[in-house]
Amino acid sequence: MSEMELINSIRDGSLESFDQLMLNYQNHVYRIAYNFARNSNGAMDITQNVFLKIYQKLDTFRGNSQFRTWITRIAYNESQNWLKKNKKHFNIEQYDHLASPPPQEDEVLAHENKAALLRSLYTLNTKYRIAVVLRYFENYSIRDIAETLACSEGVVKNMLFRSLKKLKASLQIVDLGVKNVG
Amino acid sequence: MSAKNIIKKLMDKLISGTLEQHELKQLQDLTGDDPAYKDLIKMHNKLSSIDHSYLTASESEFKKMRENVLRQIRVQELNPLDNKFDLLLGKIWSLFIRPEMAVAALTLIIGFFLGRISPGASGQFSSMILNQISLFASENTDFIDTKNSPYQYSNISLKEIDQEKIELSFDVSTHLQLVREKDDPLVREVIAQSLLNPDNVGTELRAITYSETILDNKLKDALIFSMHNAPVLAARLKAMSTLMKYQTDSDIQNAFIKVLKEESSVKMRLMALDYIEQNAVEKEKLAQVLESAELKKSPAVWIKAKKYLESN
Repeated sequence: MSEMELINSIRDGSLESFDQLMLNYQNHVYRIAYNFARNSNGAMDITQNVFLKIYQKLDTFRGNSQFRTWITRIAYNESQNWLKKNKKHFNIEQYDHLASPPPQEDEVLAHENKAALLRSLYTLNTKYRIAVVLRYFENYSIRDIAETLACSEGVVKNMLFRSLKKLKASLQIVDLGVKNVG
Repeated sequence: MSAKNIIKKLMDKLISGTLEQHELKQLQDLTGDDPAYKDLIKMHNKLSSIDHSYLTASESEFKKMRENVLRQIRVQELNPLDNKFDLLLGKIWSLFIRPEMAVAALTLIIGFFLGRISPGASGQFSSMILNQISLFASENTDFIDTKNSPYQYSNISLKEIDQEKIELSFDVSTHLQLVREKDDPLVREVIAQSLLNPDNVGTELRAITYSETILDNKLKDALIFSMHNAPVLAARLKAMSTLMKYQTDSDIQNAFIKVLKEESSVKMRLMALDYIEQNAVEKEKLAQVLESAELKKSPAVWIKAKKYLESN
């Protein structure tokens, strides 16, 4: 079944088709949500809200943009709403996906490097972070990111350049810290 | 075009992910050893090569999430007044597509006006609702029908009156309290509903206890649902203990295999393994589970399962 057929089937009332749609997008939505919540419970909470919103708003999807971009925009807005509601419970040191190291010893170093890079992502403000996540982790085009974040393509490129600079600076600080400790 | 403009254009392409290999070489030649550009390109490459598959949840967590979403959608469709006006219009329209929902909605609307017109009408309304839900309960024999029920039950409470009767108390558009024979279809429906949408653990545990004596296909599936999805471990365990008494049913056997594979509680996984051993569930199924990454996360269960497989 094509994506449009799936959407039409949901509009006709098929919850089975909606289950299939959730299955297709659950990882994508979860990853966006995780970048806001920073822990698996929060990310799952947001993911659930996103799919409820998608179901409620499906009739408003006209096909002017890609369906994936439309979903991402909802995920982005819902994640922001969630963040506003949960701000006071928010712990900046929460990264539960990084809590346990991978089992193979030779992967530990790679894991630490990756962990440092991912932690530095959280030094970026939300909009910049999502631009980086969409561009580098979800392979979005600049145009799709611009549509998701409701800004121009020029602004997106600018955000990405600034993010790269800031990430580099953050990692240098981490490196210095490690050297000083050693 | 000046070198500065060419660099800008190439950097734009780099960040957009459209830079060709020969253009990268051109960019590196133009920027030379300038640390600012070197660092940007390095960071870009680092991010481009990162494996982001770490950010995911297990299939069982996703499954629970999807089931919750579908349940909430069903509830919303039954309570359109909770939503905004535009949504309400959409949902009313959808009622006409589904006859059973149209009946439920009409009952609600008529009941609402009866309640407004006559002080004695609430009894009539309750009786209408009772007739509707009793009819629905006697017609549906599968748990899937309970899941798709047009009636939303809440505040369910169950109390055993004697060996043969149970008092049911619940809200379904209006509050109802009645005593029925244990094998009455409505008793089965309310028990199944209380397992599907548990309001509190006490009721859930009682529902599991009562279902034991009147187990049919619907309640069997409701118990399996509870064993897999109940938010509280005590309820999942009780459902499991009840189901463990049924040894030859293939649905139950498959449900235990699923517990072994997906359940977060090690205790339940070990119990599932005991059941599998005692009932000689096909070893092929167990062998498949043994290979799953999820099971390997519980060494105690994995070793026990492996020993059992190797023992015969």
